[in-house]
Amino acid sequence: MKKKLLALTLAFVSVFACLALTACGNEPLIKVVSDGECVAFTAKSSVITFTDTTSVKDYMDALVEKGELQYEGYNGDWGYYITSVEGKKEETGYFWSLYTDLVTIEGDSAVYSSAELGTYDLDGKTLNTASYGVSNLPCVEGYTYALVYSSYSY
Amino acid sequence: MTKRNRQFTAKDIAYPALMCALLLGGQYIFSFVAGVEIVTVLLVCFSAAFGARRGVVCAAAFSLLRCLIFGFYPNIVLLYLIYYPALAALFGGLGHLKKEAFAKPLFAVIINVLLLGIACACLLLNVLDLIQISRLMKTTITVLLWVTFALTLALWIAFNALLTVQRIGKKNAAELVRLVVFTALSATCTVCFTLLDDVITPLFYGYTRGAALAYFYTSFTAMLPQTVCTVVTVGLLFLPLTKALETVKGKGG
Repeated sequence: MKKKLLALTLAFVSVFACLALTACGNEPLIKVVSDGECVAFTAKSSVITFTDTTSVKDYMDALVEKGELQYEGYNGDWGYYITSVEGKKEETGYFWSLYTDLVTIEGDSAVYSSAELGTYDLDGKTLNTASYGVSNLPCVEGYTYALVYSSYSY
Repeated sequence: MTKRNRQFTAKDIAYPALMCALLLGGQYIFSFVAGVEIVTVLLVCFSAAFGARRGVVCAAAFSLLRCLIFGFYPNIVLLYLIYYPALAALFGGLGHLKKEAFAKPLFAVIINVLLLGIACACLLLNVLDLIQISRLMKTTITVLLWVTFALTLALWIAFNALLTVQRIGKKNAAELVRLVVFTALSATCTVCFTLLDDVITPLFYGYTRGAALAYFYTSFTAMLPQTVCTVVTVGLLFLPLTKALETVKGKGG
C-alpha cells in the first residue's frame, strides 16, 4: 500500500514538473510593445540558419512561416518597403522605421545603424536607426531589431 | 510677332498636357519594377521634338502633379522641379541644332569627357572598393558598376567610330552621332539626378555628415540601374519616338 502510494506520488510530481517546465525555453520570438507600435525581436538560430547573406527580411519571413509575425510591403527602388506589421497599416504621416543595435560587422566597412538619425529605447537597450531597410540590413545572431511605427514631419 | 515674343497658344498647353499624362502613367506603371523608368526618354524626346518651352511646361506640370499619385514630399518636389525642367530645357535646346552640329569638335570633347569620366568612375569604384555599403548589396553594386562601365565604354567606342566614319565622309552618320550624344547626355543627367538628391535630401532633413555619406553610398542602388535603363531606353527609343513626335508636330503645328 505504502509502495503504491509512493509510486503514485512520484508519478504525479513528475507529471507536474514536466508541465511546469514545458514553458521554459519557449520564449516568445517577437515582442510587441506600445500597443502594437513597436515589434521587436532578437535574432536567434532556432528561427533560421544564419549566413553572410541573411537579411532582416529573411528572418522576418522565417518568423512568418512559424506563425509568429505578420507583415506586408512591396519592393521599391531602395529595397523592400514595409507598409503593415501585425495588422497595423501605415497611415498618412506615419511609416514603419527600423532600429537595431547592429552598428558594424568585423571585416565590413559599412555602418549599419547610427544614433545620429535617432534612437529607440527598448527595455533599457538603446537601438539606433538602421542605415538600411529590412531587405538590405544583415540579420546577425544575437542582435536586436525593432520595427517602430513612427511619424515624420518637416 | 517674333518667335521670342510668341504668346502661348492652345497647342502650347495641349501638347505638354498630353505628354504630362503619359509621363504620369508611365512612371506609375513602372514604379512596380525596380530600376526601370520611362520618364527620361519620353521627356527627352518630347523636348527635342517640341522645343524647350513646351518641354519645361510639361516637366513642371509633371513634377507637381505626380504628388497626387506618389504623395507630397517637399524634398522630392524640389528635386523634381529643379531637375526635370532643366533636363527639358537642355534637350529642347539641343533639339533645335542640325544633325551635323553634333559632329563638331566641341561636342566631341564634351561627350568623350563625359563617357570616359563615367566609365573611369565605375572602374575605380569597383577596383578600389570605395563604396561602403551593406554586404547584402555588394554583389549587386559590383555587377551594376561593371554593366555601367561596359555600356559607357561601348558608347564611347561607338561615338568615336561614328565620328571617324563621318569625317572620312564614307557614310553620313550624323543621325547616329546625334543619337549617341543624346544617349550620353541623358545618362549623365540621370547620374546628376541622384547626386542632386544626395545634396537636397540630407540638407532638407538636416543629416549629419556621417548620415549624408551613408545616404550617398546607398543611393548607388538607385543611380546605377536608372543609368543603365536610361542608356538602353534612350539608345533604342530616341530615334523612333522623336520621329513619331515630329510627325505629330508637323501635322498639328
